[in-house]
Amino acid sequence: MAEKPTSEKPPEKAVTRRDFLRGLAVGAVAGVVVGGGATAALLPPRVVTVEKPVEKIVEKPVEKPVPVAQVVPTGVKRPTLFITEYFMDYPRPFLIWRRHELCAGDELCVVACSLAKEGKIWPEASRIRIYHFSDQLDIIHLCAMCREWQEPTGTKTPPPCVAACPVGILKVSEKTGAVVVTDIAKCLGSKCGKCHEACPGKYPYFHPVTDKVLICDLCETRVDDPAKAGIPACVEACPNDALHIMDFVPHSVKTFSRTPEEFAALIAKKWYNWKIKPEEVE
Amino acid sequence: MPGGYAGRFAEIDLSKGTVKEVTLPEEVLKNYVGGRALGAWITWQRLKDKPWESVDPLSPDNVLVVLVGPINGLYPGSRTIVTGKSPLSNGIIGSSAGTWFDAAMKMAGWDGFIITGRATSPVYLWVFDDKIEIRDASKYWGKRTREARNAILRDLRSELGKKMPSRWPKVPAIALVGPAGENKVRNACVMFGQFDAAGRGGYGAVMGSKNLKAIVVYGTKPIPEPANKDAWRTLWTALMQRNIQRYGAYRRWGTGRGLWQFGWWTASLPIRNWQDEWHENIIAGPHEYEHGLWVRQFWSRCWMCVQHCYKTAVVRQEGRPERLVSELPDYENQATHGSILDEWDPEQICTNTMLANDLGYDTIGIGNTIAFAFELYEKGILTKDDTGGLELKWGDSNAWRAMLEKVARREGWLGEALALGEYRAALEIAKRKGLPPEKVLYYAIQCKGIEWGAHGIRSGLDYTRWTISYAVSVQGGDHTSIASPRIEDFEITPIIYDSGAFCWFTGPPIDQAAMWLTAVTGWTYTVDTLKDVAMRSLMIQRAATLLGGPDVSWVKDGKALDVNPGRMMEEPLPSGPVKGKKVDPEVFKKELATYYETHGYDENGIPKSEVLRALGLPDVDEALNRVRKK
Repeated sequence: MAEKPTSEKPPEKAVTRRDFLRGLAVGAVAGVVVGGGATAALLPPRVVTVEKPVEKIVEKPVEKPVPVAQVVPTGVKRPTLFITEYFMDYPRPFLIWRRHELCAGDELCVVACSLAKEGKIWPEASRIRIYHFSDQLDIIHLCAMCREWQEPTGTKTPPPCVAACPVGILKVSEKTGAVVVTDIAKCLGSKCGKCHEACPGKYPYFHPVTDKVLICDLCETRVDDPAKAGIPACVEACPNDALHIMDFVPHSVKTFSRTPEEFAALIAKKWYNWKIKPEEVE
Repeated sequence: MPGGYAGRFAEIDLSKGTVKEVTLPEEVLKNYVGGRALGAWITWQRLKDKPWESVDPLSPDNVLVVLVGPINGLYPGSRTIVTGKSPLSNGIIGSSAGTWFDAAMKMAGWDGFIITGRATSPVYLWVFDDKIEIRDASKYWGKRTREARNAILRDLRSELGKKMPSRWPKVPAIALVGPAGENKVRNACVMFGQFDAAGRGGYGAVMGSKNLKAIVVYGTKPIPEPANKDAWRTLWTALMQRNIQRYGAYRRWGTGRGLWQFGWWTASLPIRNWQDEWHENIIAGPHEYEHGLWVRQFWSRCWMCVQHCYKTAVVRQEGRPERLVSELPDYENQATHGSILDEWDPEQICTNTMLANDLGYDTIGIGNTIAFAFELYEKGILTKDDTGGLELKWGDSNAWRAMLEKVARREGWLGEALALGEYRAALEIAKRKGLPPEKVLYYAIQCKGIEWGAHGIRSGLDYTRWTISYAVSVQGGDHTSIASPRIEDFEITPIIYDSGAFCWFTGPPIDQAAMWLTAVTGWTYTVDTLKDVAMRSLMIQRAATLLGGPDVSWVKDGKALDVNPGRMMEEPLPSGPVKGKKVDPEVFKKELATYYETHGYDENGIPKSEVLRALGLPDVDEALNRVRKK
């Protein structure tokens, strides 16, 4: 540490990782949406200003051979963290990220969801589905978990399904940010289907027997279960890591608010260079 | 009611257009479990009194049975069994496909479909839970498998979407036939979706002969509960753990590395219609082959499977940016549409198998049959006049694909002949050319009319290490059901797997399979009782094959025709680590004698009376009196 400029005072207190993270979360990282403020429903506005670090002029150090065993990191002022580690303060599920290129279409997520929620293997009563389209396009279909919906004009509204529900039983959960049903008995079922109509991804399903709405709540009961660590059943079940529980979102959550056909058309372009429309997906 | 079963079968009479619900006695389910064994029993019960020999497999009298086993839907893996009287062997073949159709059947609440009669015009079945509709399919008749699948599902889903908009139309499971099946080509398969086929046995021709284009199934019920839920959960977890840890086996490479493994290590790969069985083309290794073609490592669509032996391949098209998409040819397809033709270019092989799938062929069977025609051309038995101007030269994939098209359309006399399968084609060509049948049959690599899977017996290094592996098997050249001198050596496992119905690549060892069946059904199964189940299936299938008819039978002068193709005895392997090895007739005779003895056959290869009666099959015994030497 001989190279350290003497003019710089040592800090009063060592900067802990946590303090450092706080600082980061406030302003240092731009363009990343942080998934947990006071309420998950309302995100803090994006901070776009980045403070340019002051460049310090350091004299070129005299090179002295040091035995390898004694080498200590010099000049490192901040811990090097993997990007997800910046958000360790907010370990709450936020979104199930889907990687279709890893999905094998084995339906283990569907099975796990129905086992967790219904106690038996019942894909029709599952909240997550896989669509087996032709040419090996297996599409995972699940709630996109849009906490708010931003119109092209910039106005923000609650998720479309929440706004559309005529009996007002849908709300955004404070715990996970997913849409939850407050009073399932009041649900009018698939005959009403307003939430399904409003959703750009045509998401909510209806139970085959009770005909009540089925919406993914990110396995809310597992959030406080230390054994499950907040990992939803479907994510736990996937053998190929096609599903991930994320506590931050690198892109807009709208990425997933598509119908299975729309997604299949996108993927057909990416994998096969096919220019097809969603209605041509079979 | 035992666990696992949906508890009922649907009997669909296409001639009358009626659907009937059938429940089988518990004793039958217990003794035959499901899948192949139960399918053999159902077929036998329905056809034995006609009598068996008089039933033409392609006539309305035949039955087409599509069924599953008790564990399907609860087991990490998928098998759907298609059976009936086979148009190739005239016996019963338990043909199976890996696809989620089995789970869809269970969710709709059916253990199987027994399809009889013949529709007057093309139809398809729409099974939505308890409701089974026979619908007009003339719009889809003549379409290739991909196009037909897409058209049927598109129409069905848009119809449902209009009826129940908020119950968003999901994608149902589908089984269908392609042009080959419609034209009753005896090597046609029943195709599930686009690439998953129940190929062996030629049941696509049976389905086509019934004017049945497709079966579409969608169910909204839960999978039937197992009898012992705790035991099932334990077995399920353990099996998934085991399968996911066998990463190097199929999860990493699929079966595609077999082209190298069986071609170079074990010298049992068909090359130029089995003239050779060894090669050193490094391009056939996985690094060139799989990495060159696939875009997705994990792809299966098998119910709850973690093994994922299927891979997705894309092939470049000439002058077009869009890629052609296919299943990466598995080992059998690479061998029977690649090495057997002396074609080693991955893209060409993939294009060959894509076409074969699209036409709805049993790829193994048709590959062998066309390679047989190529060899006859090489030997001068067939000429350019017979092939319609095509030069059938080894390594020419264009000629290969032209032949695939010709046979599917039954074009020319050669197309007609090859559409009969390799065995009947050899007889037909011999008749036409005025040659003795043995001379042409020498080049036909088949047993009991079923063309061989791509595992040779000459080297003795493959799992088909017995010289009787195919010769005495009740499923002929089907490599997924080979014979072993004693049933417990090998033979029991494939039979129980096909009956359970487990999958070869994800199935547990036989003792754990007994635990699975016990946990799921609630009846007690052990390896010994499973041996009885296997023996019952084997005896029915053996009797059906020996009786045969109407055109071909596998008994001559009261003696069963359990023989290998001539080439295996006559020609030593020309290259490879075991160069010069061939089937020793003495070894063959000894193994055959052991097989007959341990299976309870007499010296002519016909099951003995007392053995059949001990297994509770007196009707099989009576029927076999017709072929026993007086």
